[in-house]
Amino acid sequence: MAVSKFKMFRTLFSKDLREIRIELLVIALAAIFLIGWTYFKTEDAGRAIILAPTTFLLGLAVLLPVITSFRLLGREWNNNTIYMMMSLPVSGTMMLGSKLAVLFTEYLAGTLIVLLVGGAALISSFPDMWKEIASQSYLIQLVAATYGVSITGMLFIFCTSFMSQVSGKLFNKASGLISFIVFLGIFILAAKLMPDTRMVLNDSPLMISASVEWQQIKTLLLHGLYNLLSAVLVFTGAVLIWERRIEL
Amino acid sequence: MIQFNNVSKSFGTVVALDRVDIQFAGGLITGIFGPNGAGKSTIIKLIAGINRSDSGQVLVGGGTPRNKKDSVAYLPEIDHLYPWWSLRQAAEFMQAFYGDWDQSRYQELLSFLRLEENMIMGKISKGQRAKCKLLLVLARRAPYLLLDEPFSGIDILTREEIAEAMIRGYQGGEQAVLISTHEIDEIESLVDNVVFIDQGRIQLVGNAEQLRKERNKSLAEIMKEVFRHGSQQI
Repeated sequence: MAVSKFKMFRTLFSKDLREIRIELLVIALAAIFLIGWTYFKTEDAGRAIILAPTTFLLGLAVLLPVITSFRLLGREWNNNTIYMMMSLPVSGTMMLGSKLAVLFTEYLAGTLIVLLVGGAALISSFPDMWKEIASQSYLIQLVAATYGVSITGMLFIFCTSFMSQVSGKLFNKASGLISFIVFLGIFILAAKLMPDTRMVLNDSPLMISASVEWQQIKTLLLHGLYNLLSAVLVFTGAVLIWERRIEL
Repeated sequence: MIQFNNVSKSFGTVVALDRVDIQFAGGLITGIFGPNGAGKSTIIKLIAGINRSDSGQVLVGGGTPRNKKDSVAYLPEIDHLYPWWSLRQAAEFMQAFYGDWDQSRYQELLSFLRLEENMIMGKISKGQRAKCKLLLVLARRAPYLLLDEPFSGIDILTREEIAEAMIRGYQGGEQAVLISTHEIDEIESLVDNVVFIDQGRIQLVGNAEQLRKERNKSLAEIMKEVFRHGSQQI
């Protein structure tokens, strides 16, 4: 009896989802208590301070999935569960893809929790200001584009983390150091190869008739596209190493 | 049928397998015997597709091990289950990947091995974990069953239970069972064929019953003789 690939992916995803439950719970509780406490302890214009815990928690929601990306894969070797994972009848794309999906979920869920709680506190504190912001579609689009670019950036970081770890596992000695060097190396290489998006767009017909605001958004989106392409390249490299070189 | 055609495998400077040519037929239980570091586990890992040969070819049912993972039930020597898993969770996980999972066989062996589905892998004894691992591979109707040191670090009573479960779990027909161990006494009566291996080279291959009759010795005694006197081929 054949087993569906979707069921396999869902099973792998659910297994790893367990890893991020606690972290998401911590972020949610911290957001509610920290932002809630600031909200109730301040009044009027003083409530602008809510931005401080919101920014701090947003940073945490970004940092935690990066840490998890190293734990999620490395733990398979530490627990010897890599023996089971590698004997499963699944491709490297599905194996690493399910872990990528978990990290992506952690990033989205974590940041959205903080943004929702922080946003709710700020909206109720400064309703007039929010009405003003909401009426400017450009600002909303700029925020959405920035968030979109952050997602592609995170995907690139996760893929780089996978690539560095599987590269490190090719060596018996100094595996951790090699992973670290590969991780840094990919970032340096990506930074060197990343074209200046402003320069690329300057001569583009997309920009000729665009306002300054739209130029900013388009520059951001192009940056996101480069991130995405880099992530796909690095992920493909990691899958190739996983499938062709990793052994126990 | 599993075929090794002139297979070599090294780990750094250590030669694990040296130009091995061997076949494992379906419908038979083969014991792979040898001292620690002989190359037994490497044979099993190559078939399971978690190692790659440096040269030569390994064929599992006519295909590469990587493409035949769904036909292979593999029990590694080490504890490879998540410590937070209950036996039920582990079984559900396996079910999601292997279409040959047999729930009725699972229930039967669960009861025979006196295991509980709510047992947590990280909180049970090594012997119970070994039984859980065995249950998870025997509950499948896989054409190839690979057991790597199934008795390692297990007490004598549990060993007997495991050996008994292997007999119950054996599906005959075309299923090829490979058991790698250096604890030969436990499975002496189970195996149809034997392979003695040392330092990555096959020392002796043959039918267990025939070898016992010809030499008028137990397999354990034959193994001692083989490893004492070096390479012999039948």
